[in-house]
Amino acid sequence: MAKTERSGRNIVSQDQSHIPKNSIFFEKIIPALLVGMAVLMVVLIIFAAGILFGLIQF
Amino acid sequence: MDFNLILPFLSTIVMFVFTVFVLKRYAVRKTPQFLFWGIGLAMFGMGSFAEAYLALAWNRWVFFGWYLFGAALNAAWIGHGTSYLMFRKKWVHGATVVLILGSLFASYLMLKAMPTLNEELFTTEKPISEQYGTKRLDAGEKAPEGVATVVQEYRGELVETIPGLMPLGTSVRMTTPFFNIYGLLALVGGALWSAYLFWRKRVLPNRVVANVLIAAGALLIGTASTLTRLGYGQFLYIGELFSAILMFSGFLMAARPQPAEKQVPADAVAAD
Repeated sequence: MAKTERSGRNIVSQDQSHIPKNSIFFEKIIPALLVGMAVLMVVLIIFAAGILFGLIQF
Repeated sequence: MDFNLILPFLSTIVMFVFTVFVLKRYAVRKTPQFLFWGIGLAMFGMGSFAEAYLALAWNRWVFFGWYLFGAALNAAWIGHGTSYLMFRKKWVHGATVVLILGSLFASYLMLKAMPTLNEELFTTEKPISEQYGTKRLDAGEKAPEGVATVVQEYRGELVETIPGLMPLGTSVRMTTPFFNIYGLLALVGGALWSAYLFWRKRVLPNRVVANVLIAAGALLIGTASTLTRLGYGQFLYIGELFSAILMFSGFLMAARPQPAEKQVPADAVAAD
């Protein structure tokens, strides 16, 4: 049965959520990838900033 | 021909199809994100084409395009498209002015660098990514076997270098971190944030995966470019090809309509 809730001007249908429950891919792998990629992004930005400030020679 | 030198041809084809796809979307929707993505992807494609060309022959203006569009500007322009999805338009419009002026300034610096290129060092034996920059060796650092080094004066001190096409201290190279930091933050940060929003709200798994693919593609080319800066240019072309494939796959996946899209919360549509 469709269960809906009103949030602001949008109606969210909880039964329309397509992310499957108890999916290892969405429960474990995706969060790990998001965190891992965020860390890698920060590392790359620090590296680029290091070049800008002359801490890394090229 | 080295297999590594064929990769830019493949990247060029992928990027051409990707660019046409995005610009066709812009023609239909007329939203600025598609325009900036399209321009940035066209720059990426130009960079790939220039690499492919420089694998066969030297042309200084192709090198100009390779460095300016392929190495310096494309990430910022692609990322700027994502900024239009993430932030208020009036702020992004201001950033657009800065991006355009910054790009013009980088173009001017690149033009200024053209007469200083050590064109005689060019060879088709190595990818352009391995020969464009002059690498300064740190004290005690040894050059790889068989690679000639030169001792030159740089900022008042004698330094040992592995000479490249662009002399040490070429100022346009100092602009690339600005563009790439912005591009990386906007494109990767935007994609990760969008993926997180969809994931947290447990809606549109296609867009969760799509944004992960886009972020992975952008990080792949960012990492390959960083390795190139460190003197490991052999990973650039394979990184570029996989980056193009990952980002295009992500874009196609995000564009695929889902039955639940009519119920998506308004704050979770960042990766439209």
